[in-house]
Amino acid sequence: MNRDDARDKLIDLLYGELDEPDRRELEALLAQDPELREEYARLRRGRSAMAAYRAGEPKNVPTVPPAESGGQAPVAQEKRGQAPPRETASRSGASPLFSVPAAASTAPAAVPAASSAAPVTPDERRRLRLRMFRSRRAPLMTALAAAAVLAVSLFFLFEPGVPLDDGGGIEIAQSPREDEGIEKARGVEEDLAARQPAGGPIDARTRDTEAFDAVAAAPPQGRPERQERGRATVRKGASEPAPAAPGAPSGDSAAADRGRGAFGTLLGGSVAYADEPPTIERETVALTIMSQPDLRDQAWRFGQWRGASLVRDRRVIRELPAGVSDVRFTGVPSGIVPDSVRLRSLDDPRGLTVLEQNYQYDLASTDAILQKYVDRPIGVTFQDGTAIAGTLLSWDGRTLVVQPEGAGPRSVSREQVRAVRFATLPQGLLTQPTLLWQLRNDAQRVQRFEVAYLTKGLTWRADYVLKLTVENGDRHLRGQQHPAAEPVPNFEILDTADLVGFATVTNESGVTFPDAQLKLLAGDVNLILEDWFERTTTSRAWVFEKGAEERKALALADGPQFVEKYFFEYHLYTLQRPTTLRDRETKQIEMVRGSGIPVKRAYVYDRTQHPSAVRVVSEFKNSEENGLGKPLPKGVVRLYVPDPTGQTEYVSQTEIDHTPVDEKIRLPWSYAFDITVHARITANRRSGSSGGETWEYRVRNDKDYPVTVTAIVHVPKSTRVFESERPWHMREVGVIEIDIPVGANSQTVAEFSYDWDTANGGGLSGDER
Amino acid sequence: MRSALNEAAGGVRRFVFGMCGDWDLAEDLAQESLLKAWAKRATFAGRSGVRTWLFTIARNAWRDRLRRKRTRPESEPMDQAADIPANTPDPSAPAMRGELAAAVHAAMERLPDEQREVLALRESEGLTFAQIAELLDIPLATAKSRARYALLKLSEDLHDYRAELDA
Repeated sequence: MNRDDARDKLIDLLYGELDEPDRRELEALLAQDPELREEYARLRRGRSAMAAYRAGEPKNVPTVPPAESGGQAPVAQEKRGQAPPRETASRSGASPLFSVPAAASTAPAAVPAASSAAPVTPDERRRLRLRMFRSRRAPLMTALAAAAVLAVSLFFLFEPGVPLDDGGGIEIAQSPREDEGIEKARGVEEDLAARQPAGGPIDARTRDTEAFDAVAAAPPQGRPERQERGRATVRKGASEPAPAAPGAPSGDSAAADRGRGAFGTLLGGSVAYADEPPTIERETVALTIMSQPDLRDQAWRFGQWRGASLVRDRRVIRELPAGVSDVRFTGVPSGIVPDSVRLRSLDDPRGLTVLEQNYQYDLASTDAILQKYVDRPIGVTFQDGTAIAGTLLSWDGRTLVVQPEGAGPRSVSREQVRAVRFATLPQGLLTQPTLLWQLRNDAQRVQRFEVAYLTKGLTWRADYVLKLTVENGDRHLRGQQHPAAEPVPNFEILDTADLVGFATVTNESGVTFPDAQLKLLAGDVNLILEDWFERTTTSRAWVFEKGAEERKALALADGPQFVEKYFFEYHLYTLQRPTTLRDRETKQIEMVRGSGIPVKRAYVYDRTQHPSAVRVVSEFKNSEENGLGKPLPKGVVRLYVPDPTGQTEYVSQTEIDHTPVDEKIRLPWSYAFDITVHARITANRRSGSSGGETWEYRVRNDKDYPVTVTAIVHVPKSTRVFESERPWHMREVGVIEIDIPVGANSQTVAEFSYDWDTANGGGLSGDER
Repeated sequence: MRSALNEAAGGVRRFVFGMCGDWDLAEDLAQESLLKAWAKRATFAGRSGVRTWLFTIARNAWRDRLRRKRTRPESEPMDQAADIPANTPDPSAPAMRGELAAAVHAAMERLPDEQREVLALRESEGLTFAQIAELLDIPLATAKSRARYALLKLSEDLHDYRAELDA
């Protein structure tokens, strides 16, 4: 067993997964190799940490509900004497979470009532806007919360020229060949309707299976086209199998109902043909996009950051009639936070009352359809063209679990899936998110109103380009020189650089914002999001309120693109001209520019980051004299350096945090090629709660000019004594910095030691010794 | 099947806790996974062990929860750090232990997901690396190296607590 093998097997030794001969051999190696021993000790420390991590585990263990409970298992248990958390509390009792849905999965699905809608001619369908109004008399929040489950308001705008009753099925994997299958599926449905006993319900499972088999019989061709989604929605009413209520007519009459009742099925109930709705025009839109909070420690809990932005959309209704009206507001992002929506009249706030607000968002996405297809047959086509059909048991973002007929369940990675095919489109899905208000207007008049809401899908970040002019740097003697024992001068190296900062704005919200007034908010905003929203939506001092003339003046002014203002605890960067943010577009706008910035080059060694390599760090001040002098938002800095021929090359990138004016910016780049450190422990002292270590750092410089390496030493917080023959200072508690000058093509050895006492605490001073 | 699921329940809860650092959430997801497994027991093909199957369900439940999570976390695991009980006469020990637990929580959060996942599975109820590799559909060597890097990273991040961890 060589050393590398031994290192690989340490993890097996730690968890007792090594067979006896290997274990003996590895233990013998450990006895003679201190570095291997040290690594094993670190692994053991990590495992000890896991034991500490699990402390506080509740004693009660969750169990499967007893059989006699019929699946209604009161499995929620008392947790460490605390009240159950909000979410747990909501699941107690006979909530769906604790219901074993076995009966639901085998019994025939309930069949909704057939529609009794009157037939409509195709011309009418193309021309008219169709709406269903079913009022909710619940409070606003209740209506919003219940919208996902009870979505009863539906609006469809039929595009001219699209036939309503052609085809059927879902077009996520739409192709001409599949149209044939869909037609077959429709035939199967009609057969089923004809075969069913008079007055009897259709067995939904049988219907789905047979309908799907017909669809699956037509092989897929081509990739799914999302653009056809709107068309699929139009078809939805026509393709949905006509549900027959008990006692409803069957056979031909049911088919006839299905034919003429497309709208009835589509709307699921009462049908209303709205009068031509009031014309709503957008006047202006203002966006305030927040920067990404620091998720380095929390990203795994938040999931992927999708942005948080305030949208203030101003629209005008030319003739809003007096009395109660319904106003539909489309063009809102799918990531809208529904309970943040606020509408206010700008012309007559007292005369316009919001009676009700609904947010309809159950979109016909693949996930939404999948959710409605659990326990129903689907078809899956893989990237290689093969396909399977079976019952969808479960799904998540990465996998589908499908059980083919007569076989066990199969887990399918969604990355391998080219298309998922469904027999029909489930009811109640929309094609775009819609806000629907019921408004009461005192008198017919022009109403300008503003809708403000928070949304996801809009993000921005700062990107910087730092072009460094190296030329081996100018060297300046740093501070006081060490006594005569130190023959190497302590140099600091100065380079010069040009810095350009861009705001990179990405719109993945699903809608385009034309001529938007753009503001970018820098700061960690997630903690006070609601407070911030409250202030910005109620404040009259908002820049946007200053009027069109002022905005025009600002746009024409000759100055920086962004004007930065201190705002609450953040910095707000306002673009001095309107800009259009198209959906699925990334836009870059210059924010800051500085040139001839003196940049100090430092070499930093931190054993906890890398055992032997030395990192190159550039350091400069965010000051006015450096051409900067404005708060720099957190972002990525990309480093470009000219090569010996003078051509600029991209060499590295790093990140800066939000940086105030006159603050130092430290940019750690990659590791230096010609400088290495060999660190080793030369003495280890332990006695009860106290102990100490002595270290030796052997620094080698193969450059043809001298450098100073700054060693970062992490010591326990309980350190009482630190000794070094070289100057050192404590940067913060537990972190010591030692400068080690090294001559050209030479080596320097630095020694230091420290002692700690966990019983009596630290006490090490930060003064340079 | 019932007894096999019940036996694995504690391990599943520890695994989810390893991923999220929150016992309440871990219990919720463990219960959710148990019920899902029980409801779908007829579909269990027996290609893997019941325990492995249950862990897979729990893992998917956690990922699903993570995907749906679009607001701030419901609880801060750091708050639990002060709840760590002490059983030592040394009056300074409870505070130190609480500090250590908080530091471990923070260090766990800094681990990449895939490393934390392997570590949580390995430490939750003694799943072997072979079982973990099968469950996660990764090579055996990858499972081991992820655990190794995770432990080394934890050890580095907890450098200040070496004395306590070595004790």
